[in-house]
Amino acid sequence: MGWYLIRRTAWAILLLWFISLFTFILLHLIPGNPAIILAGLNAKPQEVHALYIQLGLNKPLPVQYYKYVVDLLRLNLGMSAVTRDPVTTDLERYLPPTIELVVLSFTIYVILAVTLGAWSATHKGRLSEAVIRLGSVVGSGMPVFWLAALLQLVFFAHLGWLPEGGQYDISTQAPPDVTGFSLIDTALAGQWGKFLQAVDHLVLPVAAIVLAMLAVGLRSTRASVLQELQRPYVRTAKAKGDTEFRIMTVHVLKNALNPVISLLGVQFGYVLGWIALVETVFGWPGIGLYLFNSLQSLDYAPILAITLLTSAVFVVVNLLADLMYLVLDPRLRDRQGA
Amino acid sequence: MKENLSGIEPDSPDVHDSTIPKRWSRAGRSERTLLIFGVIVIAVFVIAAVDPHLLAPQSPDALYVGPPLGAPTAQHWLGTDELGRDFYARVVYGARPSLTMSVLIVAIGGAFGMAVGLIAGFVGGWLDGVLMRFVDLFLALPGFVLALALAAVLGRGERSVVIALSIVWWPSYARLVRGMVLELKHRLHVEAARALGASGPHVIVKDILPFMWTQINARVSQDLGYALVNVAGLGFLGLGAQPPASEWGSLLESGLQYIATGWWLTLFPGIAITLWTVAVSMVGDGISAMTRSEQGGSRL
Repeated sequence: MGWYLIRRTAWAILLLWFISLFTFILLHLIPGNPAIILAGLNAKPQEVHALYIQLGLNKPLPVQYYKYVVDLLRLNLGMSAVTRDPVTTDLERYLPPTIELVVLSFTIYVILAVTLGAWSATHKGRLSEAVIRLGSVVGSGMPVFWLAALLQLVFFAHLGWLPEGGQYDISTQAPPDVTGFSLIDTALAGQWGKFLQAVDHLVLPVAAIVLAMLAVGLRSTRASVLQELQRPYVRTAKAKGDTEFRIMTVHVLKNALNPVISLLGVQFGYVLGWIALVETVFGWPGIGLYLFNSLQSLDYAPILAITLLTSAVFVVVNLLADLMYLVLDPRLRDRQGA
Repeated sequence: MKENLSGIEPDSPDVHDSTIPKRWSRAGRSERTLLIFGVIVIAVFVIAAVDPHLLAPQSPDALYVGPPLGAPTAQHWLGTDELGRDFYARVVYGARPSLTMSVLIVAIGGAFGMAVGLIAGFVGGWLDGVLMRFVDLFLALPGFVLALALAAVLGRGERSVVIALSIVWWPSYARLVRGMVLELKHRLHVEAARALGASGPHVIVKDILPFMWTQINARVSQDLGYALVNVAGLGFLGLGAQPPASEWGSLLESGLQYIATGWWLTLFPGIAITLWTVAVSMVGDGISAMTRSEQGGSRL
């Protein structure tokens, strides 16, 4: 187990290093002077020159790379040419809404995928087959941004049940910014009307993300549960007189969910990739929308910073998923340790 | 490695021993229906990409041929956009940039990945180790995010999107093909060919490649749809084909501004993308069903 832990962590560090090399190369591929890009397009020539020296662009490439990595570790990600703020400052503002959206979506997704997966494994019939088939078509054929747009078309433009986008209505004064999470901030301020409004605004983006992934998680859970149900311990539990519900929750799911966890890690990566599209459709003020806006003006410092950030988060989440896998499944621990 | 003791060729590709009618009847009825549907959709899309004028006589760029944001009518089947351009023509003309980019990405990424996989699997040793670590590195990172940054840095345009997505596309092919080579190179017929003195390239072309097509076909047909979704995603973000080209992703993005007044601008580009992804996967499934051998699959 210790050896695996070291190897797996070393691999994650190697990946992080590769990401930094990748963005460093991109920074030098951009036509023009990196100092101009990092200083922002509106910087004065003296500022650019100062940054040129500070970045060590007159030094050899390996030295430049070293300085680049040191800057990254100090969270110095350059300036946005559009907002004229350090990218780090912008990210502080844009990150909480994204975290809120992703965490909420993932929580609901996991609950739905597991319950529906377990349900469809025990209720083989027309209905569960139809649910799975429909989910597969939605999940694999439709691009997530179109799915998001369709939800908006139906529930906002046509039915008028839900708002078009954003965190609050345009006329609503946002609550004091404590955490940046709309649900928590409105609750802290005790403004329950706004809290409900924030919930309203979360429904469609969350639904888009959940629906896009649901089929995959559902099928994976179902396959895994079906396999576990064949095991002798299930028969034993049945013979002892356990209820089906108890067998499922106490015995089967505990074993069946292990393979699902590493799938979740991978899916997390997909969401990070697509989040910009979903946030753009719904005008959700997170890093995805920040990325979209930066792409419109080819504002490179934030583009590269978001690339770094999302890739790094992806690597760390997958590392955690793999380690969690070990914690949850003692059999693997023994095998890996051997 | 599984030993092949049961016979010389238990699951040879039935490319050589089966006629088309025979294979046709081997696919189930619903598979055949879906296959026909898929082929028709793909044919229409390919015509749209090759000669859009055939399907849409109207110009996609002519301004105010109809009212701005006009709903679908008999004259303008898919309505008109905010500048009064015929939206049907715009969607049809969007096939060329959208499909060209997708096909190129799968072709370039697939060919390069296959080459790497063949070399890694066949040569083995340290070269295999190095190449596969590199593949692992790519597969452990979010490809779409990397491609997005790369395309942005290379500048807007179709070329950047093709380059960027091809670069994140090849590793999965390398891994797939390497796995198959490792299995195939210990088959009796390959060892026999090598014992008879056949050269490496000869063995690869004659004795290994023919056994891979079923799996490669399945992957390629799925990927053609997946590539389009990625291309449209980058187009949506403003990379890729630039206006006035009506690439489907960018078309959808500009349609979103009129979601309350012009539903057709959001609906139809998405239908085009989804039809393509569904059609290519149906054809892929159909071909897999047709090449399936009676004993239960020519898959490795």
